[in-house]
Amino acid sequence: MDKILRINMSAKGGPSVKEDTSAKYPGLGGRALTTSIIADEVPPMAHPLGEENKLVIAPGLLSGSAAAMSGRISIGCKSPLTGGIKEANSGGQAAQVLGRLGYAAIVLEGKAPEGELYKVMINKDGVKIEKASEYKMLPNYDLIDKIKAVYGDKVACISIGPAGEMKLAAASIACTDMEFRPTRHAGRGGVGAVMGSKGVKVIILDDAGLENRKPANPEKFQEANKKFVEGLRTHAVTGSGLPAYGTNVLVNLINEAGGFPTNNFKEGKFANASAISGETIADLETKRGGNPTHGCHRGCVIRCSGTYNDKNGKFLSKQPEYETVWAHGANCGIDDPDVIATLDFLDDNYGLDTIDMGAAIAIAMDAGLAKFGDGQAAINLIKEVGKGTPLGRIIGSGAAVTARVLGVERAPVVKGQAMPAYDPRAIQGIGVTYATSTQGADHTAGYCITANVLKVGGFVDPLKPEGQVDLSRNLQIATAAIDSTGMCLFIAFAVLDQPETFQAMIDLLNAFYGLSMTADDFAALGKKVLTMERDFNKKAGFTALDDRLPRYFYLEKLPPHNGVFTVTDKELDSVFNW
Amino acid sequence: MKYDVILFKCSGVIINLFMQELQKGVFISSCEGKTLYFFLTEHCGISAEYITEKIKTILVDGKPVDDLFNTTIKDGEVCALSGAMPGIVGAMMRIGSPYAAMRESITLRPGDSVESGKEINFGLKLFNVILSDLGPDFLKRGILIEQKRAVELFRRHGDEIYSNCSEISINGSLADRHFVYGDGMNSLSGLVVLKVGIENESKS
Repeated sequence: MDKILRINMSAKGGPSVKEDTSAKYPGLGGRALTTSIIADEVPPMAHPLGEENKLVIAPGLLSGSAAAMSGRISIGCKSPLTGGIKEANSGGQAAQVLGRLGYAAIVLEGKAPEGELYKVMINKDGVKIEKASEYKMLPNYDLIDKIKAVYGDKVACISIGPAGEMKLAAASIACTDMEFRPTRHAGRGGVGAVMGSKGVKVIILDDAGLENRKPANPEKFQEANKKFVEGLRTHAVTGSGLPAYGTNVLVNLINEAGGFPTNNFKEGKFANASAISGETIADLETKRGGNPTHGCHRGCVIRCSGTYNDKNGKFLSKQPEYETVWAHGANCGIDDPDVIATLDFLDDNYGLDTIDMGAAIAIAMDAGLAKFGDGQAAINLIKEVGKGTPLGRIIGSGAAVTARVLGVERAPVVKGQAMPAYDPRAIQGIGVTYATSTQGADHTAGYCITANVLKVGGFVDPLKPEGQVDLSRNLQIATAAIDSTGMCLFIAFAVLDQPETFQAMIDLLNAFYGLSMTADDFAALGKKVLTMERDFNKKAGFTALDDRLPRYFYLEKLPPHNGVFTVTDKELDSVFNW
Repeated sequence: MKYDVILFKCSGVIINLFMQELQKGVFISSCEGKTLYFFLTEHCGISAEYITEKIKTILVDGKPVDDLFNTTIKDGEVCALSGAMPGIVGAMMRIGSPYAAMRESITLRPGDSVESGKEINFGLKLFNVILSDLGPDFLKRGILIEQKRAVELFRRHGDEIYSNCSEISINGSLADRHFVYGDGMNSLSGLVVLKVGIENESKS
């Protein structure tokens, strides 16, 4: 996996292909690689939809190998939603297949002439790029059906729906799952719009005739993989909570804690949360012949995904994630799982970020375009996006734009990106990460890998209150490092509690590449990534004032705890002091 | 008899309908001023080992608890029990979490309390793995809920419950379909006890 495939969509006579070595970016994968290429090659003042921007698609360091959980793919660019650097990542099959094809990254450069649309096919024999006008404005599921008819269902696809083609700022990029459905998405920051601006509808990856990537030290690799899998299987979160209920297991707990944003962040508790909880939806899925325990890619041992069938037992969507259930559920006052699953399907089909869509619809409800709790109205609004009506294009541009156009003060966004499913007035620490993340408001920017294991910024004594700023800093560093491995971030739950599982992950990397990396090196990688991202954003015009929550979070009390966000500007400005 | 008791003898396929009530919250009779640990072990019958190994998050009135042994219970409060949860916020909420500082503003601090001995109804919610592990036993022993919740349960799922029950009784007397659907249930008031006996349950 030492090649970088560069496709220049502006080349005279049509798209051109060039293969580079990845020598300029040694030992980098996932977010570390996407960030390095963007920081190195994209002018910070470039227009996100312009020729100068690049879309970098990078599997993880272990993708395409037999390492468990190594199937995340990172997609980076300058974001049309935030105006800063972006990395969004996704599960599905694409990372594994791209890894086996030997590519550390695909870089889409330039932009196709207006109105032209292409498909890219990559297999062991090379790269082929063809015009694909027959795919114009096809939703993702319809597109994948057409591709299946020609290429079969053993390939993996990376595609955009109509939202990406319309270059809407909340457009996602879809990756097909094990059943060849376009259910896994690099959702955040409008990466789909950048792919649309390049004129690429779909990248078809075929690894037929290729084997798994081989480790430098097979015995050590196998041993580390075994320990890693054991650690995941024995941990309470990755071994039982997530497989049984999926990420949506969080609904009841976050709601009970008063941090579950309801009706466009007006309240912290949703009265009928139990109707949309992970427990209830898993039971419903089982009754209808769906499956609440399912992996999104081969090699997944956590299996937090699932399939959601309708009342007649027919596939309706994948099991909606916690963020989706919140965004389209409580945040819009909707308590019907079937409506939420329908909205999830429509988001996937049109190629939209479910978080920004749920936030935008709630804002539209606040503006009086629909009533909170009106599921059919929410479905209609998403369909407007798919049709490309003026209202649909506004909503498809995300929560920040929707609020501005509709005259709504309460826009829960940072750097233009909608907040996820935790209200920072109830859970102040997450607000620090929302405010200061290089990515805009993002719940995964500071995830749960233990600061004590990594010893990032010193040991944290559980018995001694430590500042949430320090914790947020440590978590952001650790997350950037995990994102760079291409491992699913959910491994962090086991790594949090089990140092031996963390060590097994480091051992996997060392055995595969013949390295002797330590936890300190791992932390240094996280810092390096964040430093590059901060520098890019600064050059793109961001200042300390962009590291703030919207003003109303400091002024409006959130029931039931009736708190406001109290972390000072000075504290926020100290997050990246290292 | 302090509360009316509704007993269902039913097949296991509908147990999740009743389990939802445990997600929403039930009442457990207890004594004011007892510690949370005492409440869980003595009044809920949860073993000390289970508390240590499986219950990773406890919220009282939405506030994360770090000290079970010094937090005392009061009338009208609601306690929620959860297993280990994913995500940074899931990790923050855990008992004694190293990330407790990040939710400091809502953490429950043990305060002074007098053990008055007054009988109270303390609220209890069970989530995720705790619900699946302990829910059936709570249902077997009986859960205390508001009468209107029982009526609502029948309004929404009456047919499914009725068709999967071999027997429904109120205070020991067999109740017919008319009673359960109609005025009978409405004639009950205040709090009622729902007991669920699963038929063909393994004796092992």
